[in-house]
Amino acid sequence: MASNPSVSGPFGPLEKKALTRLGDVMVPGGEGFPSFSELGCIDHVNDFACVAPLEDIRALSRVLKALAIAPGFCLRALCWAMLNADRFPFFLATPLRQLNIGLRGLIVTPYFASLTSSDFTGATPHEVMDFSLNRLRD
Amino acid sequence: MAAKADYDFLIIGSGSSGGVLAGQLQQAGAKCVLLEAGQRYTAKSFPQNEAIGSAQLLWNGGLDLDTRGAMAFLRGRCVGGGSVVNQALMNRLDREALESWRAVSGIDSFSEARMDRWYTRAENGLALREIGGSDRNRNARIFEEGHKKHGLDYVSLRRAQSDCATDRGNDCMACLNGCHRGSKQDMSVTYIARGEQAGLKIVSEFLAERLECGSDVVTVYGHRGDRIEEFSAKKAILACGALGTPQLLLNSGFGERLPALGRHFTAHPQQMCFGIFEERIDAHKGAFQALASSGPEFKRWRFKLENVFAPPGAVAMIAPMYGAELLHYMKKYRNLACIEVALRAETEGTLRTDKSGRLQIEYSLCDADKRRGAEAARLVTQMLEASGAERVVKTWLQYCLHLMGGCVIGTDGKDAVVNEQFQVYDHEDLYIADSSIFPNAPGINPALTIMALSHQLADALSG
Repeated sequence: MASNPSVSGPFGPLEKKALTRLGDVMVPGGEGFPSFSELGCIDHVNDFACVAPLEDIRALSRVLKALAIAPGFCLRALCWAMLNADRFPFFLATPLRQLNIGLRGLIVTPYFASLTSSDFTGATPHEVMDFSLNRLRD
Repeated sequence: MAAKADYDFLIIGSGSSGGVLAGQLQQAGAKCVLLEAGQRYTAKSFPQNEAIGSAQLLWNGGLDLDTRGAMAFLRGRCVGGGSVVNQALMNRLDREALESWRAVSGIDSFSEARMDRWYTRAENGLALREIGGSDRNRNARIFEEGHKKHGLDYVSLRRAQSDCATDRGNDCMACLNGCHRGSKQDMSVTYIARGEQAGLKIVSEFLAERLECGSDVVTVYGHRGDRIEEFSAKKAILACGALGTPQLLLNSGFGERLPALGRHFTAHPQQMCFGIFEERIDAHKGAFQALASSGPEFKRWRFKLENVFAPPGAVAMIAPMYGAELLHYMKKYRNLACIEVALRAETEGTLRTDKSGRLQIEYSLCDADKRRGAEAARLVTQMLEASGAERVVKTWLQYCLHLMGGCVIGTDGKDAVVNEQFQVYDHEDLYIADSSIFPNAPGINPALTIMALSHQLADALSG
């Protein structure tokens, strides 16, 4: 689904760059699926970020700015650590879980909800999964 | 402080409690204003994309977390509240649950006989349908098979719906973002609509932030967009649910006089288990939820199982994987079956607010509840495998849709926030009948009980 993405919002180019890089680790493409960056759902990220509490977005923004320039192996390590947060001591486990939920909410959910950039022309995730809902109105 | 009351009642929150109270009181002749933080939608305007739906219809996009980030709490934010985004399952509390409430609260009216009148009124206010055998999709059949193989009982679910047209190919899962047919009996198409016909004033997108009680007037202050607005009435009814109602009272300084405020917060923590099958299941087609476990074993085990499913974005969100593994898993979306575990948790949490007024939810499952959750997941795994699942995937995130307590009802003001007349202790013009007054977690879908209690309060207030 392509819609009019917000042109402004809490996340600027640096945060979007980090989210796109993380998105390509979480959803790299394959088996017919486009990658996160190919689908272009980053265009919608500010629509989701704006409903979260402002202090959460500010904290996430700081993390993303650092991740925008982090080497790729750091992003892969972070994705593993977030999913295995329970293995870490409490003071690390809590922020890792929070980060995992926040990032998956901004990357994984919009991707599999088939939100695309306006110029995306390939098969959407819904089409790859052969998923549709029949909405009868009458 | 506003000088005079503009309304007889101001009702904050438009879900299963606020909707009933606003509709009933307005129809009884009172002048009411219904305040809701979210937007107003119709069957034609509900968002169709699931991600956009979560962002627009749920508080914080559905990502309210406990302080450890281990549990997500979902609550509706739109006119109709949770009744718009829930599964519309309507069950009475059973004798055991009501006896437990009576014992904890000291309130004798929690009995099947005395609640019958209010349940009947709530049931009469909605169209109710039992999901019949012909409506059971393959996911429901797997649920049936699993229970039969384990000698366990199950029942059909009763849902608040008028005409879901699943026999003509409609897919009900779409209604998790609001019902596009107007079939689901959410508050906006039932009680609120009837109230509006009688003159009810509805103010959406008003975020209530502070409450003040005067001698004969209650005023609520908040934001509507960038504007600060206030509404005053002779009496106020808080119906913001088990997170919103305690938060509003805490942020209004009521904690000093109400020692139980924010305590006894309870929930029914849920976890989905997905079985990957070789053949197509198409759990998202038709009536996507039809059955629930039943019987004495489940009561003893303090959990129940439901056949349910979720749209792709939600399934991927809670899948314990990423990268190529996630794509491989999601490629099999149509081959997934799902059974959900819901715990009747003993765990009690605490709600606080920080300096900025933000809610802090302290809720960490006790060992007994963790053990029950693990046992339930083991049983579900066996059921799915017995039906042919190649692999079972348990989600990494637990979540709670049924949120209760925080302003519990009781006969002792030291350990309760609301008395038997639903009045906030020491504040006779302030009432609550939403799920925040539940004395404990009943292990049964709360929507009908919230409506029944709200009918009881509406009856008392309209004389």
